Amino acid sequence: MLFEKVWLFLKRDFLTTSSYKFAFFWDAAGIIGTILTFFFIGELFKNSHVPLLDQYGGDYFSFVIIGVAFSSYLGSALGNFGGVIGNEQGLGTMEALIMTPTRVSTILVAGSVWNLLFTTLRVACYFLVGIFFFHMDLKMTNLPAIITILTLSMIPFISLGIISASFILAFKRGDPISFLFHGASKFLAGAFFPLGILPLWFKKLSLFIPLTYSLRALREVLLAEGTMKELWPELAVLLLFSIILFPISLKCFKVALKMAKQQGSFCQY
Amino acid sequence: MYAVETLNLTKIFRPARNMFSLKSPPVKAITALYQLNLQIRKGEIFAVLGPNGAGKTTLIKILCSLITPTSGTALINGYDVIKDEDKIKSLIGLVIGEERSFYWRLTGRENLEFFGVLHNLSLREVRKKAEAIMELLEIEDPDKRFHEYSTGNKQKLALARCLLSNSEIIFMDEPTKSLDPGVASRLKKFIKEVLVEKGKKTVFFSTHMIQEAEELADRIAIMDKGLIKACGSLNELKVNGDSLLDLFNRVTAKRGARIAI
Repeated sequence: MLFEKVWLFLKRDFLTTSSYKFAFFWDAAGIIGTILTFFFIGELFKNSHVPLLDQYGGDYFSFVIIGVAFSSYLGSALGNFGGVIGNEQGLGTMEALIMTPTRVSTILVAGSVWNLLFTTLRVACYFLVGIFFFHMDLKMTNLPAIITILTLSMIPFISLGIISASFILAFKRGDPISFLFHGASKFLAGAFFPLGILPLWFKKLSLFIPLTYSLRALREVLLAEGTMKELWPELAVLLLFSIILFPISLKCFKVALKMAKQQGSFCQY
Repeated sequence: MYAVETLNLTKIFRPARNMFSLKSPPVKAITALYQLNLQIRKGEIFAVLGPNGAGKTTLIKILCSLITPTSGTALINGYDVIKDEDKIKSLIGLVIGEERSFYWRLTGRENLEFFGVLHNLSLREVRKKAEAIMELLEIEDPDKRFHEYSTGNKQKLALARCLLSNSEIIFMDEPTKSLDPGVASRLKKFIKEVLVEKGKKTVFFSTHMIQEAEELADRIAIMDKGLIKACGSLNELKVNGDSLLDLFNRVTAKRGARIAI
């Protein structure tokens, strides 16, 4: 039954997305545009030595594509649940969904699958285009480490996503979680540049952002063939974020659901 | 046991104050429902008749577990709308007249399949049932996108979605709103003959149209400003020789201020 529900959500989202004929085209164009931009910035620094990039093999292009691809991937995990609620509220279908015996948590998860698959495809495109057309050098030898980092990174981001969804459910707009952890974290976690370049107080702020540890660990593995043993400090922090954030997120969602029911505002946006 | 029962049901909305405007006056609480007591028997067609803003939609949404009451109790087949939400959802269906409650870029059939599966039916069951219901309701062009449907067809689809779940108790918020007289009349006939007489379902609907309440309901509650002003069968309400319209005008004309809290 759960599989059928997820399948129907996927079908709904595929039919809706594909009904907008140019959406696919512009999305693909956006990926190519991003890659080209960073490729030429990389070309600019190609012959100059940047010491801060030494630990990642010295290639800015590979460094930044990992930053952009994975921050958008984890950012999508963060924005997904809030996106599902905001979208259903905007469309006016929220009450019709809540009226069914299907649990809200199932609606949130099933409603996010399409976006997650689409983002996975986008990340794969970043890497495929980077590897085949721009000679990006990735070391894909330590697959278990990559999977462990991604899994441990997903939990805090999904938790933050649930907190973000709670804000949208309760207050409709002005969700601070998306702003703090989606927008600002790309900058503070060093998606585009090594953290060593930032002033000390910015560096201190970056310690509170899960993306900092995810990107550091992923770059260690993909660019410098880091081992699990070398990665454990980052993995331990990600685990700690997960243990703290996940129960908080569930509590927040429960409170937000109660507030929305008291206000009768499921369909407001 | 009643199909629907409310005991001193009260709902007070407390709108948030505009925190960016120092001059904004304190926001008043709005009493949408005040100490409502209703008992609806199984197999009954019950109408809540009232002007705009009477509290009809709030009442339906509380009975469907979409809004939490401030105080009092609401029971569906003896189950509490707050404590037994999961049980209630398998007993009730809501016909949401709001056309935005569907996915506009999907066809009517795709919409029915989607919501049917969320009602815990298998896709195979939904397809079979949806086909039969669409035939019964004479839904034209089920494979057209929803946004291409006429208003009448959209309303029929809302009813079809509700019927998929095979609920015992059906709530309808203004079921014939925006329908032309021909479609409205066929829909009323369907509710009476197919849903209630054949299907033994209980129907609870809200309306602001007196004729609709007269034609369809076994009992009518006239509601205004969150209060039940009169309740009974058509004969009981016409006891002084008044028409329902006279009674409606009389009881809703006593427009005092909303109950102060």
